[in-house]
Amino acid sequence: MLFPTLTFGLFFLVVFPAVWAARSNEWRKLLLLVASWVFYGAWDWRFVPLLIGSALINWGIAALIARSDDARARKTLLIGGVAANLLVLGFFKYFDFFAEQAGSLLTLFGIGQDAPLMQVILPVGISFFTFQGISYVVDVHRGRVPAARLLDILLLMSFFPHLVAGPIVRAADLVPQFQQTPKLNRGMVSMGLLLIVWGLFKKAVTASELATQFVDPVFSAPSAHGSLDLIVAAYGYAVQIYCDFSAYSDMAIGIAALLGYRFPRNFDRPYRSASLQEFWRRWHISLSRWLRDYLYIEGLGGSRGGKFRLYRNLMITMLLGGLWHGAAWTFVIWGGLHGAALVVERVWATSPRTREIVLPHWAKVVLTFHVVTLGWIFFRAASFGDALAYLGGIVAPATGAVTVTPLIVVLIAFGLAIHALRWDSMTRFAERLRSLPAPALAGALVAAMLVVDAMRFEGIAPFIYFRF
Amino acid sequence: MSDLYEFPVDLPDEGDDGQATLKWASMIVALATLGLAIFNPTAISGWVDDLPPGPTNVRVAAIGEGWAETADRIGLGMGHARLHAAWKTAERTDWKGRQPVEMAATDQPATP
Repeated sequence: MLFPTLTFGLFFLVVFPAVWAARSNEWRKLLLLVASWVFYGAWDWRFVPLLIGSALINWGIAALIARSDDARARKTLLIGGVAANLLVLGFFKYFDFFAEQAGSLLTLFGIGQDAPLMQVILPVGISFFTFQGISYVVDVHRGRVPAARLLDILLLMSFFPHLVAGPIVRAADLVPQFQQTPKLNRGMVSMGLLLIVWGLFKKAVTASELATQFVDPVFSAPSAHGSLDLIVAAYGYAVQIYCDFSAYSDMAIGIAALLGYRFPRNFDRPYRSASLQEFWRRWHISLSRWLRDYLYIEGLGGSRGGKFRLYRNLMITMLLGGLWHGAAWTFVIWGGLHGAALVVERVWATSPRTREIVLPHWAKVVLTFHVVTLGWIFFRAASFGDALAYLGGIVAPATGAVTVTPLIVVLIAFGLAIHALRWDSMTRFAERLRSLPAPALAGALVAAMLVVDAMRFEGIAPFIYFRF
Repeated sequence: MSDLYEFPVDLPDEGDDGQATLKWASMIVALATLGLAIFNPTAISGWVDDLPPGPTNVRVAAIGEGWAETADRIGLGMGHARLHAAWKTAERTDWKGRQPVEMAATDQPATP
């Protein structure tokens, strides 16, 4: 059930009045829980028990941690909880990948064995809800949040706006909201509606048009295209993935707001970053914060232990961050590229030879954008070989077709130009909308959605981050 | 960069919580739904066409198509149709401002 579809619209038209008409907060949460399972079951009902089981395990382990006074027992429970989550993620997401790699390795040593592939089906959103489970268990162990009630944890992990593609909302952010009866104010409603329409536009018009009309054909047959097409398609994919993923986050935040809940910001105009470090503060913020807090600092020790340990930890964090996106070497290389760039930035900033060389801000933005775009080529390519062939086509003057159209260039320019907007543009616009009478705001909403519908490509492609 | 609005839907407070806001929001949702149903009937008929066949869905499809035809007759979807046509033209236009012949040909009915 994709957000920009009529099916989801009808689903929301049932959920919205039902939730606000609920007799009590407990009933409201129960309704939301059932609605979330229906939403998740619309993809594959067989995985609803997995979602429930995952929430039960995390709730149970956190409750045991909270009850225990024995530091060693608490630590054992923490390790068990994290391991259980990683086991679920590992089996569904990485089993076939590692089995295949093991098979290749055995073949290399002359022990010809067919890898025992199980063709495991990847449950939608598993990377998101397992990371949410891990953060909850770690936070309870650290005393950052108290152990929550079962209903709150079930809802935390199943809540449909963030269930399949984030943002990764932590217990500290959402559970206190679940414990109180939510209240709407006009600001939440107007901002929520604005984010939904804006997300719809970015996804249905910009991302889908770029993907179907240009980026997908070029990436699927790079040798058939000229260098100009390859370069523009790389920029196109940079805009497409931003408009796709940030659109989902915007819509998730907006839908949650209409139900009375606040989600944290997940994107903040990432392509205006002047360094990779800044990029990761603006791109998929909930994941980068998760990786920073639970892997880089909690798991690896952060910058404690000297600069070489810092560089090692940065590389490990980004390599695992890459692997989180998918079981493929292209994602590992993408993560490695980002890790290496982060290390180079640190070395550059601290080395006596280079730290005096400071590029102008605009040059740093351009450089950062191109490093990120280079990474996207590996991220998007079907294999490492395809990525190299693609890069080869850019470097060597390829003589294939030039298929880029003016509309594609306009959409890419638009996707980059929106990064020049003020950080509070949406807020200021929403502040104006909230004073409108309901018929006027509804009219504006209808007009905006009709424009999106008229411009969108036929059908809606799944969001890129659904497969993660 | 700013972290001022970590929760983007938290606008400066105007002290308007409560039933009046819920009524306002519900009215927006209801009116917008009605507006979209009136002015974009093709979306409904297209969605119904994708539903799995069955006696109920056939009835729903008939209602959807009936409404789409009525709306078409009275010109309710005209603005949407014009914008869609303009977008499709922009999609096909090349750097010299022309639409490639083979693309235009696909718009013509196939000859037997």
